[in-house]
Amino acid sequence: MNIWKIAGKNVWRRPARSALTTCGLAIAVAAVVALVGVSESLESSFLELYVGPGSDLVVQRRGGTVQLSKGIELKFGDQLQMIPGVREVIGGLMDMISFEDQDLFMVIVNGWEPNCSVLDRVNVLSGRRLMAGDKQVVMLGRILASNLGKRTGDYVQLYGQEFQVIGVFESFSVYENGAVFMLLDDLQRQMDRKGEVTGFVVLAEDRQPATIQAICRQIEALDPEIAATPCAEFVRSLTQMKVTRAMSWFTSMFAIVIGAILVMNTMAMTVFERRGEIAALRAMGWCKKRIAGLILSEAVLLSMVAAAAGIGLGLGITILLTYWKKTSGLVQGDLSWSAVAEGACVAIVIALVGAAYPVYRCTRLPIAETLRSTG
Amino acid sequence: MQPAFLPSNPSAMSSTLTQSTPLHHSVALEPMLRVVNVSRSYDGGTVQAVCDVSLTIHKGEHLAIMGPSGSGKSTLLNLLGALDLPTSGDIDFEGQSLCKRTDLDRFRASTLGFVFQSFYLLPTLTALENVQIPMFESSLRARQRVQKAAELLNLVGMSHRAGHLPAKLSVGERQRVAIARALANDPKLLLADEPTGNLDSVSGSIVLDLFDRLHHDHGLTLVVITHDAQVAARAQRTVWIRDGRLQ
Repeated sequence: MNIWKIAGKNVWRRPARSALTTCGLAIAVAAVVALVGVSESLESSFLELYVGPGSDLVVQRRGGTVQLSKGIELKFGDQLQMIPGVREVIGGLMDMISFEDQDLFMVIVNGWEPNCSVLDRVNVLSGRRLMAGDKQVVMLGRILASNLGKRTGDYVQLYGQEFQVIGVFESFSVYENGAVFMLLDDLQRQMDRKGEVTGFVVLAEDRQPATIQAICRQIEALDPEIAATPCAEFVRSLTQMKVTRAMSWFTSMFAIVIGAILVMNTMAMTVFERRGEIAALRAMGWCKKRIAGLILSEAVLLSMVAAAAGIGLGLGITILLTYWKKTSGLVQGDLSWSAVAEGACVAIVIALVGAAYPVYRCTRLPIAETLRSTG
Repeated sequence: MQPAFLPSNPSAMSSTLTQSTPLHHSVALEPMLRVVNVSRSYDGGTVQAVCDVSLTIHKGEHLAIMGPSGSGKSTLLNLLGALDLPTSGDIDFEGQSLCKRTDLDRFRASTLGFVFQSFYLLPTLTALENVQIPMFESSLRARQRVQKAAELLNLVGMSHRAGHLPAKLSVGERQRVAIARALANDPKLLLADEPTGNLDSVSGSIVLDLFDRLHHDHGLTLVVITHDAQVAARAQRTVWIRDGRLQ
């Protein structure tokens, strides 16, 4: 027999209360795991969108907090291509639209040139890829086509006009699977940004950091208004990502605080109900540290069960989001280890914080008085 | 490891526990606990629970402290057991002042055994596990704790109930388990607060016989708080307390 066994038996002593506390705590953990996990998933998916095809740099106009609102001349791409060490330059225009009738918001529209390697990279599931000379046609990502209920040959309404779906594709990126591809000049016309792209991605011949840095410097020397940023840094700097992450933690904080109060309530009641026993243990010579260890062990046991349940629940929520129309084009059904670790840490921290006050109280019980009042 | 209270033949010991035992045990007049002009007041002195008490308890003595409810006997026991400190006066154990000690937890764990009227057994632990509780403050390993607890349960005639939870034991059996627990760290002094207060006469008698045996055969120093004259009659010496003062 050891302290953990005694703690386990004490937790089991009030099964209903322990189960309810565990549920509350598990929901808090699930909220953290799902919200933080989704925001991390958004970030990693977005990074993968760039890094997956081997992109090294993102070139955009400097200083825009909303990257979509500022553009660069498409011709600037020719100058980029001339820089030594640059293997490929892909220019693209990007927009975000909604299909309100279908409850779909934040759908990405990408405009690509007909010879763009992105169109070669995606796997065409039906129909064909965009080609030079196409007008008023689009390709739909697999998830978007499914959510809209459209197939090759159907029409979709974009920017108040009918566009024919000439192909449905699948990409490695969840964003692209939820996106619309159209030819660049079509999108420029719709957005009234003729000759412009949102930015370029640059693929270098040599991917050594020193080489990438050198290319960065050369690009930025071309135009002081232009910023060339390594992909990972670019994704991390996106305002939308920062806001999503901050909102996730902000929302999670409420769940965490509620969880901590739950644990505190449970442990405070436990200590109150058992104050006679605790005083007897002190009389028998148990030191304050051992008593504190017992109460903390009980809280940690509760939190460990809650962490396991919460992580499972969080994963379930994340998977469900991939099937929900509104989020299916944004969320991947996986959780990062860091989100799982954060969830587990949150459970342990909640347990320790929640148990701190009851521990403080029980180590300060006046032994003689408590024995008298409970005897 | 053989605990100090274990007989060479525990089964023979437990079989005789219910028999009455002689009380004429010679006491070497060597002081163990000395209480000198001790007072304990509460609420800024408005409640005087114990007032100017002086008392010496000798090694191997069986002492009863008697008094009516509210007389201050439990307060005095708490002071003797280092569960509380006097407002004035001093208590020394084997020449060392308890008021000056900073390790009272360790002192209680290694030197004292407590038997409470309400037993205070942990309800989720078996009898065997309950007896091990004080041993957490000793240097015994887990296996040694189990072995010693089993031997102590045998000593109090409870080995057949070792795997039972307190709720499955009679009140008398609970108190015997509590006594085994009190002996867990081989205490020099056993303090019992109304040990038969919650027991029927038969169970009470078994517990008192057990105390007699521990005192007589093992030389254990015993202080029993009671308001029951029959319990006090088992002691070698009885002191009376009324309104916080020894009579």
